[in-house]
Amino acid sequence: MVIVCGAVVVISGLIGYYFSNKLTKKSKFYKNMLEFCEKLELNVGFLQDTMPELIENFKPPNADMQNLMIQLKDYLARKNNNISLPTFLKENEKQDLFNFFSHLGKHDANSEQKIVMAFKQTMANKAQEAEEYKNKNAPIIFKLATFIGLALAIIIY
Amino acid sequence: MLQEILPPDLYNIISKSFNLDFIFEIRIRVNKPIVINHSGVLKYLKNKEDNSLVCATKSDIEKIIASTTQSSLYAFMNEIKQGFITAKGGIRIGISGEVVYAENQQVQTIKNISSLNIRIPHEIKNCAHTALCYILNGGINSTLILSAPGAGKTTFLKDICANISSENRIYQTLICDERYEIASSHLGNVVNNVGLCTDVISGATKEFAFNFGIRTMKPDVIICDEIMNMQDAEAIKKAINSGVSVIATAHASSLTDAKSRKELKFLIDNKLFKRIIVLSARNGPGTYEGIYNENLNSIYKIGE
Repeated sequence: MVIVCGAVVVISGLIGYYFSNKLTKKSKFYKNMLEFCEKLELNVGFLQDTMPELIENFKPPNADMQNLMIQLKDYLARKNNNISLPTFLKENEKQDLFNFFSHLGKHDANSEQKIVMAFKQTMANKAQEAEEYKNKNAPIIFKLATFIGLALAIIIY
Repeated sequence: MLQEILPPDLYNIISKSFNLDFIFEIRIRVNKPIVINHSGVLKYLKNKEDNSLVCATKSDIEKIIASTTQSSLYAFMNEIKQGFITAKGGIRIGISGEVVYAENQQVQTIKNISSLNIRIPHEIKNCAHTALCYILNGGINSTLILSAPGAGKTTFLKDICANISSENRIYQTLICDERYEIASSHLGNVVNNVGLCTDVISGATKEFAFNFGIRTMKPDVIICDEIMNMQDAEAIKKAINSGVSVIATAHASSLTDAKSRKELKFLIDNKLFKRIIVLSARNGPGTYEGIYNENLNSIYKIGE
């Protein structure tokens, strides 16, 4: 019985961790997207490297972003028509990102820079919102899940 | 190289119908049959199965533009404004469509692109051998190469480049490759064989490249493509008067044609070019029509 109760507490804790980790991942993802936009803006305005070169040289530490960059490179090379975005993003957030990607590389430097700058601002806001939401809710979710696990364990016991 | 540019279905049809090594040009027009220049002969592209003509779609053109620019149109805008894009391997894609002007009357872009002319460069070793005997006559004589489009001027110029900065001859050569036709630099790599002691300035106007190049690279000879206007002519005059030889090309099928163009008349009348070579495609690209000295006397001896 003690083992079962222990397992319930651990599983609840893990579920809490899973959900709170989603918020952390989302915050990191938006920070990386902001960094990507900054590089993109600088590139379009100055170096004018091509998209594949830029993506190749952009090495995000975050696995979700790395995966996105691989997909983006293929998408721009027309090797695939879609980009599967991380599951922690809401549908409208996915749509916004996809719209941005679908506009990439189709304009002259001035227009491209304007598009990137506008999107960079959106990403900055999103990154801030995601960070605040994470700071506010991630510890609560983890604690709440662990508490529910403990409560269930007591009831079972 | 073509495989990376053309949509896969189109590439398959072309590669099954033609020997890719002998394709000089591919003409693609929206909703019109695709025309291939195969060894100088124009042929329609046909489906092998039913012998029907293969027509290009707007989507084909968009795909070609996207793959050539690697989905980075902003990096190719200067070229597009001049009506072409240079792809990997020195393939030059001429474009036509609707020209958009900015408020200052400068070309802003070309939109609704409806035709492409994909020109595949070919190296013909020693095609300029005869001309070199006249150009390298006690140093390098400044030389003007004249011909109508498609008569092999650029191939000729590339061979001159390769020969004057080779293992046998060391002339510090500077290529001012305004339209990316000579060296065909792509993302920093010189694609064509243009010699061993050759520096390349790509994409710049002749005025800038000549001033910048003479000061920084100290060349013995400057090689440049099509002389288009008086600014180009002035830049060439300045270079020659600075003691640097210039080898340049221009569109004109004869000396008379050349003299009807203000910028070429200026250069010829000032006797800046010690050699003027006229080429045609009469017996295939690169046929010599004449070689003249600065006084416009013919010095070409047939069979030399």
